[in-house]
Amino acid sequence: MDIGEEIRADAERGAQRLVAEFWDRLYGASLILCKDSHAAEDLVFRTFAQAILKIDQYNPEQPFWGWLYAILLNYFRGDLRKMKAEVADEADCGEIAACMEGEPGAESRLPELDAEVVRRAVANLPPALRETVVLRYFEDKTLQEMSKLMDVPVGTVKSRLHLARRGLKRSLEEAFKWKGEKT
Amino acid sequence: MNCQEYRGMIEDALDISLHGELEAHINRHLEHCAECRAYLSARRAEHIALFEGVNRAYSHMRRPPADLARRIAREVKAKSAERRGWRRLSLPRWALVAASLVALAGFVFAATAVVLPLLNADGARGREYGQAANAATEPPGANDAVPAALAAAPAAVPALKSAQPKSTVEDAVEVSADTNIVVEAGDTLKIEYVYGDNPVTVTKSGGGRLEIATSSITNLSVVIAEGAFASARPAAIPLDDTFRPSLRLDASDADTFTVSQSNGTNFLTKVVDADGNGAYFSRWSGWGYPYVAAEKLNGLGLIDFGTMKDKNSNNSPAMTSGNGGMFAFNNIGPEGKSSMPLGDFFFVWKDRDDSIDHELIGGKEFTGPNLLGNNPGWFVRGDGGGGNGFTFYTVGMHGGVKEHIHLDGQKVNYDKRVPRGFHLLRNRVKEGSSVNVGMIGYTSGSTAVGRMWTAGGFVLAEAVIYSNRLSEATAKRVEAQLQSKWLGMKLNALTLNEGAELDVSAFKFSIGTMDISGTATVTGETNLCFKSLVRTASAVAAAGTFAVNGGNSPLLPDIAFDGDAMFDVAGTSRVQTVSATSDRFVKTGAGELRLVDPVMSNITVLAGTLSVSPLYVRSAEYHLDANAADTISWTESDGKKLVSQWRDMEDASRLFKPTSYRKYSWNSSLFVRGPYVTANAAGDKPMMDFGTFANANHQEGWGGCLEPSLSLTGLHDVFAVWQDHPEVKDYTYGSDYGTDFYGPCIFGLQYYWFRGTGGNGSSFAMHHGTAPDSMYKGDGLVWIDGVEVEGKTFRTGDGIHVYSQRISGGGAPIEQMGGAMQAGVKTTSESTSVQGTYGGLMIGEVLMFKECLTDRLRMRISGALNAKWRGATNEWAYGEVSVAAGATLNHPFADLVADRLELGGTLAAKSVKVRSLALPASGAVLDGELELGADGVLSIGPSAGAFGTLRANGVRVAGEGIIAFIGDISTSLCGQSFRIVETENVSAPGITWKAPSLRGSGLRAVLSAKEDGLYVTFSSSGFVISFK
Repeated sequence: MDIGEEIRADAERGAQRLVAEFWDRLYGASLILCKDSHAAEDLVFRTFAQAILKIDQYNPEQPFWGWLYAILLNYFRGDLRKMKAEVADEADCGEIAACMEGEPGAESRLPELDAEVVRRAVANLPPALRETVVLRYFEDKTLQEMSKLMDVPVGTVKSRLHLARRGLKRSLEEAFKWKGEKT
Repeated sequence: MNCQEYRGMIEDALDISLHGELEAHINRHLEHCAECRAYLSARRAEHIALFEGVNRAYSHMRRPPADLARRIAREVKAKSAERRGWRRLSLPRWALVAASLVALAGFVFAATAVVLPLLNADGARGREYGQAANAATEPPGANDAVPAALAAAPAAVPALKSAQPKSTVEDAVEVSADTNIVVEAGDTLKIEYVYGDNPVTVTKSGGGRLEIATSSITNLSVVIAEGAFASARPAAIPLDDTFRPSLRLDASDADTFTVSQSNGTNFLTKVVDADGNGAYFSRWSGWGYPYVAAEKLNGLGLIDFGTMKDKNSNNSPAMTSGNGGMFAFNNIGPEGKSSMPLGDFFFVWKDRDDSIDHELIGGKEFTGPNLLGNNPGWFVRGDGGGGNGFTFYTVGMHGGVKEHIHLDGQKVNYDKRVPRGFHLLRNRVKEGSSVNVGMIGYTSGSTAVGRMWTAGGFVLAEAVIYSNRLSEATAKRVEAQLQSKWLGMKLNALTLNEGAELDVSAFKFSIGTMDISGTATVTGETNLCFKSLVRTASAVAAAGTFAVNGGNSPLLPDIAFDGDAMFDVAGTSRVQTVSATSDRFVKTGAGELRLVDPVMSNITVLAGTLSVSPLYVRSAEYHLDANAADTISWTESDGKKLVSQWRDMEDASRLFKPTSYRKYSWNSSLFVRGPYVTANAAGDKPMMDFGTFANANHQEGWGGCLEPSLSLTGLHDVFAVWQDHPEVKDYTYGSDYGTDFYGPCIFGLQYYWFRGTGGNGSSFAMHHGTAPDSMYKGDGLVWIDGVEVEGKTFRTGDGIHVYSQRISGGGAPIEQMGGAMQAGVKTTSESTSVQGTYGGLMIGEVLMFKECLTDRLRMRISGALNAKWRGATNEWAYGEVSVAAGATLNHPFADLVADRLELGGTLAAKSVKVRSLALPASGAVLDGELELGADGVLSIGPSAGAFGTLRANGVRVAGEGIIAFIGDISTSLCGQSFRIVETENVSAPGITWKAPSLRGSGLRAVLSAKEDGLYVTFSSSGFVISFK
């Protein structure tokens, strides 16, 4: 049965199917965005609940995942806005600026990055850059798709992606080097 | 285009697709540019590394929480509740169950997910309110279709085996004979409801996980041969026609609350039916509001109806200050009535301890807090109070309500007394009964002092009310669901074999006998309730601690038990609350078990150490003790130990430090310091000395002040042992100050809560007239040295005192305390000039609780502090106390009073008063004074070996006593007969010797009365019993 139909027919069964099919992917994305596991779980929880409540708004001709993902991003941005009301915006700008400092080594190898090291590196990025990491490296979205999902011009996506990559590589530099030396 | 521009395009291309073809013109460039090829190669490698790294890092992070889907469905239900109307629906859920049972016949659980449909789709229309569907006569109608369908399946299920893969949910499974369940590794089998008529044992094997949510089998035992076993959050009561109640109040469903905040407390002005049918509960005019309880049960929220309150408060002075919360229901059924027919109803509730203990604070016997009342009043609970539970109903109550009472699954009589703690009531009223203005919490009754109309006095978890009568099968399932949801999934016995895992993080188990062997582990939060714990190996947790809390805390869960209970403890464990209605608490195992404020009559310590005290504080924000030197950090300054940190006894991260208000805002010349530790300030115990007053006009004082590292909000009960500096009391600075000089404050807010006037030689009043009302109104009570006082005017007198205060009314926290609470501060005016002062007192011990303590615990803590710091008498009474050889009972803060003490090991108590003392073995040590009661009996022997030494700090025999040698003492002592060869200076008239077999020549007994007590010395062949 189509997942939309299933949700309409029985919310709990729909919830079970959502969890079974999308938990892994959505939780991974959510964790990149939120950094902490409780917040990530909460974000997924709200996303699933909202998907069930708003199932009538889902267009079956579109991929369900994309729709679900858009809900997740909306919630995440809403949370950010709420947080930013309390924390000065400069902090975020500062974080992005920090990622611009220093250029990583020109030569890169192909290391197998340690999962924990990657998580730490991602967690160090500001929210907007984490969002690009999710979309590009977790969801394998193109620049155009990212632009649409993030609701910013392609140019901005590109620059953010650049900053994110630079930030990651800076954090991962040690890992790159270490792995590189080993091989 | 140059290479730089190409590289920008390469970068973009990679961002579009890592593996796809690059655009033709880039490829053309790459064909002849080795550097750009190298660049592409490096960049692509980098992208792929990141792509794979990120995916590895964030994929399969963890499995979804087991109950996620259910919680989501619940959330959805709550949010869409308003859209649904008053419709009852019928769903063919049992058809699903029956279908799954076909699979059972093959002994294999089909992987079909059989899920309780929580949400009913709108459209179908079922039974309307009040319609008596298959009600009174209980024909084998729709309600009983379940067992009928299941009976058609194989009666006994010899083996269940989970199928591939993942998670399978079975709604209902009948288990009528011993059953094996196999859950393969990686699989989870959740059984929502297990039922059957016979006692059965379910053995689970396989590496997977078995979860059982509810069961109505009275005698269900589970053996976990391997793999994991877990409690599971039970599904909500189904909403189909069979189960849907007419009215349900669910304290855990905060979405149904309308909350009004007052003084920091969330009062409930309205609670709508938990199933969204439009009915609601609201306060009955003239009474108090219930409120959201701070306490939780099985992780779920509760509604506290507050302490009992008497409407005609003159009848019980002790009941004038209660909250007296009460609900009446409204808008029942399509016509929106406030009355309804009544069939079966269920309550999960507890009577508040302060109701049960009411006599202790001056009340007389009175009728207990009512659960479901009527107007005019019937359904009246019976008498209680004074430490006993309440009976269910009075003799003279409405006859139709007392015939079908089930308490915790057992049918009981209406005069059964309900023990402390939470219970599940199932009741059925006489056919044709109805409730007019149904009231929850209201009762009336006469007492020795007159008619009382009271409300409040209990804490409610859930009330499920049916307008019709249920079939037995349905009632049992509702009962089982409520039991599991609130009180824990009930098991007769649980055995965990080697390597098995018990996960109690989801919901509570209530287990009769628990047997954990070998390397079995218990993980999760502390959701265990068991009568008896048998451990057969020490590897349950690291370091020999029985860590049911996943190693995060040494705390065991609150323990409740009936009958004899045995606790085998290997490491150090602590239990905050032990409630036992009767019988014996037995401690085995070499470890130490600490009990806080236990309620039990008999204690046996067979091995290890049992420590009993009111002072192991779990929920306090702070417990500070100036005697505990290792909790105090200081630096030497001016020859004093100037305190830099005073840490909590339990948690070093909680601490007080010298105030940051170094200078007072309106007078920068005032210098405030930390206190210092006195070597011997008062009596024999060091105190924290806050020095003499300092303020702007007389800066020669010390002016100590401490502030907490945590924000302190919502405090309820606070205790302090303190002493005002005599020189402060005598303070008459200059000619203008003195008589209206405000006293040193024990706890202060920055601008409030200061002591009243004093000085000029008189002591200070406890509080100043402008202190916040929350200190004095409602339950804002003050006790000094264990006696309730009128706080605003009471003057303490000299010396050390114990201060105890309950802040605000009905459990309300006082928010003004947030972050500004300081010890030793006094901030107010002297005479006409506004000045702040600090210091002026010494503090010995401080306890602060966020919970509202029961009166009994509050009095016990106060008593312990009084005994410890002021030498006051403080007695805890037991029936029998027994300490085996080599075992230790610590009872440091109170006099132990027992009918009978059997002492083979060590008993450390302030003093011991017993009617009879038995010394069954050698080596008894009594670290405290011993008093044998009037007509007391001292029994010595039989001993398998030599007598050792009973050391006591002093022995006194009140009135006539008997010292008796029990058994054939001659045999046990060197094969000889003995006789008393010498007695001298016996000046304890009335002591009778009964030593029939004390013949022979080897034993020498000397009784001597000295100024500080009676001394008895026996000696023979090197064996000595001596009291000194």
